[in-house]
Amino acid sequence: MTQTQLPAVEFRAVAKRYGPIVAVDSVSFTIEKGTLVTLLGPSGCGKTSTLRLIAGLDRATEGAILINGVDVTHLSATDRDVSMVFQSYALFPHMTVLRNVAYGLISSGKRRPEAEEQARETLTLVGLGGLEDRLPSELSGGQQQRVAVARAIVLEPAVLLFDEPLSNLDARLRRHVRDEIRDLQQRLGLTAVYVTHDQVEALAVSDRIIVMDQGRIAQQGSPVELYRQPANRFIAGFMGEANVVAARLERLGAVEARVQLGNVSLTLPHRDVANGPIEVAIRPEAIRLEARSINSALPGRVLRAVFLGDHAEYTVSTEVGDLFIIDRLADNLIEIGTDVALSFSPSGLAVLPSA
Amino acid sequence: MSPANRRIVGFGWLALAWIGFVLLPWQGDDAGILAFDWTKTWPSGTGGSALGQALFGGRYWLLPLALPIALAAIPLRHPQLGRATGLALAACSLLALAWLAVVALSIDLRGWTWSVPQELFGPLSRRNPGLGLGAFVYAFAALMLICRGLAAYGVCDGDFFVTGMLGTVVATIGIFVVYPLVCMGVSAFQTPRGAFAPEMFFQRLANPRIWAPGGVVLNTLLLGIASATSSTFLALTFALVTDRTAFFGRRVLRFLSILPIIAPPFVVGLALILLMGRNGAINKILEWAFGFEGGRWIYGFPGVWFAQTLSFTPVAYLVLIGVIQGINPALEEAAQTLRAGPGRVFRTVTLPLALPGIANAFLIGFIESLADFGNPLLLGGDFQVLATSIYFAIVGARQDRGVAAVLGLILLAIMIAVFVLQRRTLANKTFVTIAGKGQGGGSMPLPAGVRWTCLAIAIPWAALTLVIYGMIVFGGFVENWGLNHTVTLKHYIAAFSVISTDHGLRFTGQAWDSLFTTLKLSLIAAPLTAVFGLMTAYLLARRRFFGRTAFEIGTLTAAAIPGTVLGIAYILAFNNPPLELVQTGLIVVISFMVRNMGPGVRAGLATLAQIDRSLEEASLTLRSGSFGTVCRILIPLLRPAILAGIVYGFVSAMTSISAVIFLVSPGVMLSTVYIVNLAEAGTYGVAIAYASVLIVLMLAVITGIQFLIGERRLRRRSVVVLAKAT
Repeated sequence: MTQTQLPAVEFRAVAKRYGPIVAVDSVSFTIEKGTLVTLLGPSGCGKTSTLRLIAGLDRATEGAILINGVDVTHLSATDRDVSMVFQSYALFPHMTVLRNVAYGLISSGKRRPEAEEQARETLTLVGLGGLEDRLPSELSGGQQQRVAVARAIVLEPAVLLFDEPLSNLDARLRRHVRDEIRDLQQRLGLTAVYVTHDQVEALAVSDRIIVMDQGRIAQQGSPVELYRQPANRFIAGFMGEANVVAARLERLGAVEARVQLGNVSLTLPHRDVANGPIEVAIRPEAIRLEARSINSALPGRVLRAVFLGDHAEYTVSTEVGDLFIIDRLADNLIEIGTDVALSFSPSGLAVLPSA
Repeated sequence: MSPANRRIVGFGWLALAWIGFVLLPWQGDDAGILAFDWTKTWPSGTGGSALGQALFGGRYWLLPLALPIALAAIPLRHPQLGRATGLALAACSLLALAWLAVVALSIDLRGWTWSVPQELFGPLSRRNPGLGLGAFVYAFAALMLICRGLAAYGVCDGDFFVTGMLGTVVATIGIFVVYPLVCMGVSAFQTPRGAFAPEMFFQRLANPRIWAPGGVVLNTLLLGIASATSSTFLALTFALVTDRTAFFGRRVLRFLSILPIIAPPFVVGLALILLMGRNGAINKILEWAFGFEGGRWIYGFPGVWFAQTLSFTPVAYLVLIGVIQGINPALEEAAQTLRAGPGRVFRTVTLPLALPGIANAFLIGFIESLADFGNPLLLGGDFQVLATSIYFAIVGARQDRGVAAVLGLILLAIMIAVFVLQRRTLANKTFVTIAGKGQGGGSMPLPAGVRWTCLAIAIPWAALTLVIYGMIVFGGFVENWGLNHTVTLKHYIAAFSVISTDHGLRFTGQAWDSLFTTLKLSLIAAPLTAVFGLMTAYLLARRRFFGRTAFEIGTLTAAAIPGTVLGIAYILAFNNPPLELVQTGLIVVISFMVRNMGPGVRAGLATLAQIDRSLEEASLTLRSGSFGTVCRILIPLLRPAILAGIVYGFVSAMTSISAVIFLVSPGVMLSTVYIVNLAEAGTYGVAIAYASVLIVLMLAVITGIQFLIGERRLRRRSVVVLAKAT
């Protein structure tokens, strides 16, 4: 039973440098068995480098990497119990679908008939039964993606790695495949690490999200935690375009703080904020606007108004700054230049230490 | 591969080292390795192994070679070959190589080269053979064990396959490029008898025949500039004609561009002698019509320039057509919408965009001219360039290796300078998109004036080129050019007659020997050239390792060394023990490999750039090691490049002359050298018959291969094959 207690992946102060360039800067985290963890961040933040360090495609400059409790820092990709779904899928163009999926099994020393039988089963599992003898070039993008997944899971790896697996699919297909991957991962109880720069994708598939910025971990936690309680301005901005404005700290409690935002006074939850200057992150959909003046609300004037069918977007100028607002209940558009009153639903607001 | 397998690999190399030490003949002999003559004197004589000679032949200094390969077993036996044990293994194996080098360099043809071993072991016999199969096997195994150790230490991410490849390429270039060049540098400072005399170097360097007006250096540079300018200019008109006019000649020009690659480099010179020499057809006509004596103008600067322009224009054309096609038509269209007329668009957009490409074509023409040996040899007369004067310094009446070495150094220096210049030109300014023509919109038609100028130059020139090459084919069927134009087969019979006897066919023609030798050596060299080139390309494109930049510069420079320089360097390095290889087939094969690997490297780099790196990474994460990945993913995908490399390696081996003319002997005679010897002796009929057979043979090989593998797969890559000097 002690086996199952060990994390599937553990990073201990891992760094990766290319000459003077630091790709990954002393990163530590653990990934529990059976969970899907997303590495999220803007391009160049070190998320793909981290994934390649897990895979063994690059070697760590410092620190230790453990898979199922075994130190694999100096093992090559070939010798690690991981497999990877590549961004470009990297299907071997000169091999049929079946031979692509059986490739890893044959490399591991399985006999060909046995390997192909197992490959067939996995292809059926991902819904590609009957396409075994096609070449990758004869498949659609979504099918190619499933072949790539089948090729990776057929090895039953300790960790399954996804490198932006949806980026080559069109928007319509993306949500469908995303749900399929999540479903398969939960059904088979796989441990997976998933790299993406799309926060919606990350929120949708993950048990836990690790947000990276400039080679370091900016914050990690469940999707809800990250969305509701961003640790800093970067996370707040990255997880869904929050407005970040300066505010005054009135009173600091253990878990809650009293904050003055213009003429509005709010009680908000906070994470490790010290006394001093603060900022408040406000989700665009946590602001209600009404075209009349209310005493306890923040007054403002509409600068920009766009109607988008299921919702409307506004930019409103106020004494604390311009605020971006999403109104999902719009019956009719409020016109530019109208004076409005803004009120806030506290669950969409978070207190941040001032940067 | 499991750790246990890895240990087996290590022990395999160790066993090979022991085989080289205990069993195989340590020294080479004149009969060659495969003749098995060495079995007669095995184990104690010169055909004996190192162990045999040490124990039974009194050559005790060979015994210490056993020590490092005995010690190497200790780290290999260690269950986990880690950093410390890896370093120990590498150190043991390095010791083996070092002792081998000390022993090898201590003995030359005349005996010990220094006094300590002379006193210890007594004098040696007067004639000492060079190292043989056993020594090569021992050294290679030791090299692989060093790589194995370094891989365990962590070099190249601990990948033995890659480390081993790197070791092989570096060692090959070290022994067959760097070492000969160093030998050449050293002999520039030596008296002809081998004594160190630095003042000799300056005497040789100060020779007025080198630097004065009319000296070889000035001649070489002038010829290079003249030939590069004319061939670039002509090629530009060709490229504009084929890409920007509706002229039908595209296929003709494509065919013309293949000719210089399949024809030996001196055939243009040969044809010019027939057309315009003293008895040349054109001279005869002029004399008959105007009573005007044509004379010998073709022998000298004008003739060589003319021949080089004819030879290099197709090469420059291949470079420029890519450049002209690569100009994005949208840019020209944009200029048109900005109120520029055709003339202004051509002047302000097309030409400036093509300028880096034009500069590149010029430099390639210059490099080709520097390296050209055949045309100056046949047509030069008293006009000498560096390439020919090196040759005459070695074979001429006043034979002086030191002078040849100094001339070789000068040519090498010029070549490297131009090479660096070329890389600079290309590195900083490439406006050309790689994907050929952009989508949508054809390119601009030429302004009328430019179009007519181009057509007026290109068409007659193309016709002349065709006539010249036609001469080669038809000239072989004529009794005696200029004197007697009776149609005859006698030259072909002299060269290629076959008699059917009771014992089967007998090849009695005088050309058969050299043709068979050339075919055999080229067939051996072609796959080696391709593999070596691709290995280098793989290391450059796919691997990061310490000293990668130095490795890149080294391999690319090695590929740019002029043949004459390599030839003279090989004579100076491999004529005496420890490496006594001149006049063997082996050194010819190696010179083919080193000379022709450049295009293989470039074709490999181009193809690897098209193969997504994540395919290999996917294979690595799917439990396949780097060796398995190369075999199962890269080789199938690289097949067109490999085939192209083999074909190019074969064709250029068959037609090259500049390096091998130094290395052949009556026993190992090659076609090209044989033809040049015929031509120099004035036997033009047979020479031309032989040359045309070579051309037709090469044409058959190229078209045959293209037919076999099908145009569909190779169409794009065949350009890579044929782009000789890009």
